[in-house]
Amino acid sequence: MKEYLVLDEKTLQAVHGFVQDMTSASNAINALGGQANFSVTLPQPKNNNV
Amino acid sequence: MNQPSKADVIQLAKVVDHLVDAVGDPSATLRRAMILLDIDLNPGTTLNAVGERLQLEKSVSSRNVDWLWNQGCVLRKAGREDARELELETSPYAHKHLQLALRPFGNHHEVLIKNLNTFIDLFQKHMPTLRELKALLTVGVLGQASRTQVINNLYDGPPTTDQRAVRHLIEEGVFKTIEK
Repeated sequence: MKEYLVLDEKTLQAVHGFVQDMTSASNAINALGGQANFSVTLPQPKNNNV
Repeated sequence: MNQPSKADVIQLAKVVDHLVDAVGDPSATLRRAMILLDIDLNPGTTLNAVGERLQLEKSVSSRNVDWLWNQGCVLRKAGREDARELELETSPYAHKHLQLALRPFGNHHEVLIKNLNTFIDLFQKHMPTLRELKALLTVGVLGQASRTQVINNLYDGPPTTDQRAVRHLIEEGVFKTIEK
């Protein structure tokens, strides 16, 4: 016998909601012709204490 | 309820990775990530305004903004109207990583903030961390997973920290255990 972890129902619903919100946003982006695509240049990390 | 699409949950797990990059620590709480997102959405905002929007007590927002400032995620400068009230904005480094996290949501900060809040509400005993959210989504991707599979998908932290994260998720009822 081996132990496995599964999501409880309430958590699964939260993940579904998260996915749905992402899908809705993606559909809206596609409807605009993918205008939300952009490139990002990452600067170096900076610590205020240094 | 059916399992959500594997590809979609993988995408969400990547969003969490970008949030970890933005705050620089997988042990950061979802609340801290929410505060950072709120500041990013409202550059030049104040501590009081953040607390009002997110419905946090002043001591809570103050402590968390201090932590974000120490991490280099938030910049503070004297207010233009009242120099005693500091204006807050995200550092360029944090802002860029937040942009990556927000990309699947069309750069809508409020959607990500709302969902992080939903996950916070699943927890009764403690404030969840980004590490725990990643662990949760790992099980969401796999449908069912061993503890080792979950830990192998986390952030190379100390084994005791990763094991504690899994234990918290079981204690909170977020994970159910089954035997096969």
